[in-house]
Amino acid sequence: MKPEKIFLLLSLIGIFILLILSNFNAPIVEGKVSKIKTSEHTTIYLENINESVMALNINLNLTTSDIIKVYGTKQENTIFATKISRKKC
Amino acid sequence: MLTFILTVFFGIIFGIITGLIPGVHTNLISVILIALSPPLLQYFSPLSLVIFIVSMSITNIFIEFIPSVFLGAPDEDTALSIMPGHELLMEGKANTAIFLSSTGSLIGSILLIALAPIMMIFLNSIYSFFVKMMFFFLVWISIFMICTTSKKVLTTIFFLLSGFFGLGALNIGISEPLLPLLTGLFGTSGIIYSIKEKTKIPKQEDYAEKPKIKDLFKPIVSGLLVSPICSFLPGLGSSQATIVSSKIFKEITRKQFLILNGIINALVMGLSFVALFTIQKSRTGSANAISKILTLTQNDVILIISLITVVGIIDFFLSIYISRKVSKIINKINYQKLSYLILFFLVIIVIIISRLKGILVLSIGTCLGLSAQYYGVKKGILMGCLLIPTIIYYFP
Repeated sequence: MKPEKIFLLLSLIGIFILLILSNFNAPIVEGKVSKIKTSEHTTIYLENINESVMALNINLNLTTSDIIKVYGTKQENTIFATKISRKKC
Repeated sequence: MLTFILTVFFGIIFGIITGLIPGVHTNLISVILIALSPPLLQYFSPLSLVIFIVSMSITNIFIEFIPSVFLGAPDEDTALSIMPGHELLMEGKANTAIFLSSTGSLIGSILLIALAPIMMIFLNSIYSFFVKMMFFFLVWISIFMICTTSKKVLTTIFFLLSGFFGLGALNIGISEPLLPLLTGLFGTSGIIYSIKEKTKIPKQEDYAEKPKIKDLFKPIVSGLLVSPICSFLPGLGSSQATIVSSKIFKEITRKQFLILNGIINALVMGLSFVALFTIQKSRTGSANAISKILTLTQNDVILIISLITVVGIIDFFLSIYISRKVSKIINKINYQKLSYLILFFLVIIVIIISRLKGILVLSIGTCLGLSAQYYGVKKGILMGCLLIPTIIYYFP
């Protein structure tokens, strides 16, 4: 087998594993909502958490003191949320 | 005054160190600085720490091209400059590559003086418009990137694959996911390819070819159009800005590409401080660190912009000096052994920062990068790893 095909096959398997792992990923952050700012996107601040959570196209009707789990990507001080789930109290 | 000069001096020293060591970003120093800021603030004023961070960040932007060109070991800002930079290295023109990127960064530092006031006036009103339009703009850029290549089917496959790879890597829950992601696609894959091909570094020319004035037009216009947008929009960094702006003009030479990359890195960094002041949003690690230390006033922003210009001029000469020193010894070193050493170093850095999951991302990125290289697909298309997740993020 030619090297390009071996590397492509390995990449395909790897990407498949990565996509599965990312779906079973633990939340990046979990906490109590302290403040919600809505402009073009929603920015959520959590109690005792330095990072702010940025959410586009996620409508959960959150209110302060809701406890949430945030999934997504963390870049510097911002978490770009791909999924937010409200924790049942 | 002496404190000010010393702060700038140490900022430049730390910028050189973080720039020369692959994988060590100013963000890391900024994070450490934030953690240490309570005791540090007992001895230094908040403004001194801000001056230190700005000097370090700008110096890093100039110096980080050196390992990218000579060693093929990128940072997230320089990943795209590896290809043209490495090509020039193989022609014995590494000093030219560094000179071009440093010229770009210097131009960016100077252009900042003109752009910053404009951004301070208009940013609040244009911000929401750009957030709404970004999806369509990025889709157009992606289609344009694919359509301008000769191997359209293969390019589309690699673009989509890199996009899925990016989606997985960015959502796997590792810290600094861009480090293993871009190092794998553009760094380690290129180094392994060089080892397999038994690459030998030719003797480097001692002088650098200066760009002609007409060569500067396209990079300046593209950089001016795109950098401001990428300095305030979430999810867009220097890499995306470079892809987008390199497609504004139909033909852009590799030399112009290096200048463009330099302009964008300096402008995105500088304008991120303006964005922090104007819309209170930090889009770079350095701006984030500053936001934790000090609430910027208009006078602080003026000081920061002036500082960037002055430090930029110093860094321009520093980067050329360091480049000439490195170019004199690079062909005397056993490049194969050096490549193995860099590979080992990059793996260790990824383990320390992104842990074992980072190694998984690094390995997949390396395979995908190698595969693209063997198939003869332009590696720039692998930036789909950032473009596709960003397109999904902005999906209306």
